[in-house]
Amino acid sequence: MKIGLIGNPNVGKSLIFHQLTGLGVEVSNYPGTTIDLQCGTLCFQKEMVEITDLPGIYSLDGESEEERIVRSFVDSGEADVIVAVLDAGRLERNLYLLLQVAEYRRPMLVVLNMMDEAEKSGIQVDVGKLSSLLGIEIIPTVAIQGKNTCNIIPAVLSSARSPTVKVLYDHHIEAAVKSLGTIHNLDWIGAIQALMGHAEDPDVLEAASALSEEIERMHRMSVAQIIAGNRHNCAEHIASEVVRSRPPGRGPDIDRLLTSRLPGIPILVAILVGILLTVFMVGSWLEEAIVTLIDTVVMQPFLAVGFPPLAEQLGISLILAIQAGFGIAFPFIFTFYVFIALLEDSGYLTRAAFLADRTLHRFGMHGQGIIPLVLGFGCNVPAIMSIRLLRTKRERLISSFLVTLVPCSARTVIIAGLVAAFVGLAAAMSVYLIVLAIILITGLILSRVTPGEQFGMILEMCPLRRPRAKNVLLKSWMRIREFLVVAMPLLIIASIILGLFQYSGLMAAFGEFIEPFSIAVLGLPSYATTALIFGILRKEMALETLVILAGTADLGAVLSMAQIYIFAVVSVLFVPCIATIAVLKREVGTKMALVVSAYTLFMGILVGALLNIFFS
Amino acid sequence: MQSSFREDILERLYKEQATGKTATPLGYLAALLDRDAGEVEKILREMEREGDLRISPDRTITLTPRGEETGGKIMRKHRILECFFSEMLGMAPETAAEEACTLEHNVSDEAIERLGRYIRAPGWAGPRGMRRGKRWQALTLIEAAEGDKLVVSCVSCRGPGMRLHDLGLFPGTAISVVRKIPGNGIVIRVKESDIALSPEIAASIFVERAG
Repeated sequence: MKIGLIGNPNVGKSLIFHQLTGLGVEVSNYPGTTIDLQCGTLCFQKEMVEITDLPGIYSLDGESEEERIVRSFVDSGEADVIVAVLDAGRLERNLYLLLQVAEYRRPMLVVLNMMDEAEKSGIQVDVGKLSSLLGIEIIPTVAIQGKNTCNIIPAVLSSARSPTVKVLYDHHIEAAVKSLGTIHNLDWIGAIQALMGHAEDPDVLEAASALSEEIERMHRMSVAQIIAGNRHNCAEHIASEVVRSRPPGRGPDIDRLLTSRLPGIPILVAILVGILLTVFMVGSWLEEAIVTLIDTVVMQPFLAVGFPPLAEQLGISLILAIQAGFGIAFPFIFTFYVFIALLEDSGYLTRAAFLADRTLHRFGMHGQGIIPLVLGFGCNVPAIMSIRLLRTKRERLISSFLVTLVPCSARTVIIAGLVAAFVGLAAAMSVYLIVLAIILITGLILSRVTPGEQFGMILEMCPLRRPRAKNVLLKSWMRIREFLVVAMPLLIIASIILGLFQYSGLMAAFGEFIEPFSIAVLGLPSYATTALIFGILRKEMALETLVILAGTADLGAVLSMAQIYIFAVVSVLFVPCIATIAVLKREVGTKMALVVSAYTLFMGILVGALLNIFFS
Repeated sequence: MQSSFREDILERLYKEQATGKTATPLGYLAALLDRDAGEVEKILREMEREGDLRISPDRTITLTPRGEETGGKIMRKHRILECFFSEMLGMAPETAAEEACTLEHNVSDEAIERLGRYIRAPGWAGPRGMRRGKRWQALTLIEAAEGDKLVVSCVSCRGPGMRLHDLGLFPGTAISVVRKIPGNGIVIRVKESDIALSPEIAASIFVERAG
């Protein structure tokens, strides 16, 4: 038995999927969270049920990636039952998609979710009447409270049936569908898809396009428009039959505060800065605790055993990698994710996107681009993963450059631990300013030179909701798990390779080789440049390596203030860490990953060299 | 030629200001119009004397209310013609835009108004349609104000057009403007949900006032 969950974005599909299967799927109050198909199985009364969570879409006819995925899933007939999840408060628009799916005449079931929210805004849905109009069973639920979701699977097994609802199409469309059907032996859905230009057989396509041209000539409207209009009419008609709404009581309009220029924009800035500061403070405190713990519990006993040198070196590399992973993942990234999850679940993130739209336009992006940029402050890896949300290749390209430049929490550690500690707070802030300036300039230039068309923002604003602690923690946990799965193996492999280099003396040879360049261009001793190389593995490891190679934690004694400053700036800018490069490769391709890395390398050396000239 | 180029300038400036840039740099304007900056400046100085615009000392240009009115009118003419050519006559969008660019300067106000009514009539004449004979004000969403109650009359953007249809933005749909930040985006309520749009998308949605 196979079930597919289909519905508009942000109607609670993932939450229902999660409650049915017990699997951890990310659930957000942000449209477009599910891009890949998520599958899960459960056992009900000795029957295996496989559930697929499909990405949220508004229509089956579009050309976006998600729409194509869902269309091919429905077309293939993989699912025995299609469960359509509808938002009770936005029934009319949700019905539009349902009517499209209903035309496939497959066994279906409707889950009418968010009954509580609809009721709160004064909307009442006559479930019985809706069920008889559509000809399918309806299960009203409140998924966020887990209300009635347990009845979904029994209903799927017992009473899923093919819907009887029929959209009244324009008679020209009906005639065209009939003639296509008889001549080319197509069923209803095949014929209508052919009219809209989706068909495999070139003969069918040709016949369909001749017919649709004829219809377009008569109506002065495209076939897609006529069909969409008919479906809208039908949805509107059904909604008007079953929905009774009374004007909701006027509460205080928080939304007005959040989305107006004043005080909306100051609130946005305050929230972002507040999150960064909190994450930084909580993070550095936790990091110290975790690093010390691993040091005393694992590292010291390991060193005390006294393995042969090679084994010891490998062991140290392994422990360092684990220490690095946990020392950065939990304190900084996890804390940051908790805040991001709060922003998402409260629905604030869509408001932030709306406010940032204009500013981001200047950098060749639009409102939705704020998500990767903000995520980047936590860790570049998930930030790069999230650029999938952006619609055009152009925007993905630009944001992949900008995101890799955003100082992530690991780089914050360098700035704080080095510049703030040894040079001063103002100097630390100036590092941020330099990075910010480079991001702005890069964005301005890229928005001019990157080819491709800009696709403006069309974003559904999610209703403001009170975030639920369980959901927030669960989501943060799942994301950190994803981060660990991606980053941890890389960290371990890279750490061991570097360990081997060090053991075999390659590292020292490299130091000698790099020394003239290092001193002439950056004004840094060769061991500092070696430390920079370690930074590729994990950004703040540059700092730790520097301490080890310098042989003292009091870096102020061995390096001048200018050297410390240059070291920090270069390591913050130059080459994203290895995990970031790996996800860049996955999301934008090997070539772009190399270009981005080369660009940051160049930027780092350039700014370092300029600073060196400036200071000396 | 001279006057149509002036109208082009006003239209261009109007579009720039509608997307929130209050002052347009002279060099940028010349590049947009694909003309030599010196030549453009000469004409701009003339137009400044006639009271259509102001050139500030830092060589940025702002429209006066008079210039804004002319610019807005030209832009609406352009939109209606473009909509007519592409949606009704089935011309390729690029050709439709080009054709609209040349014709917008010569078409009379009355012809445009009648054309606008004609576009609307064969489209959606449902119960929500407007009473006949009423002046058809071709308004784009970007010109609407917060709190306005509107009815969509035409969605003319190509790529994002389908997505807008799917969200319910269809000729005849009643919408309201929930939030508008001048020059920034606009939030509209369509079928119970709030949708945020970038200015360039809002500029391609024609609406008329409900009632």
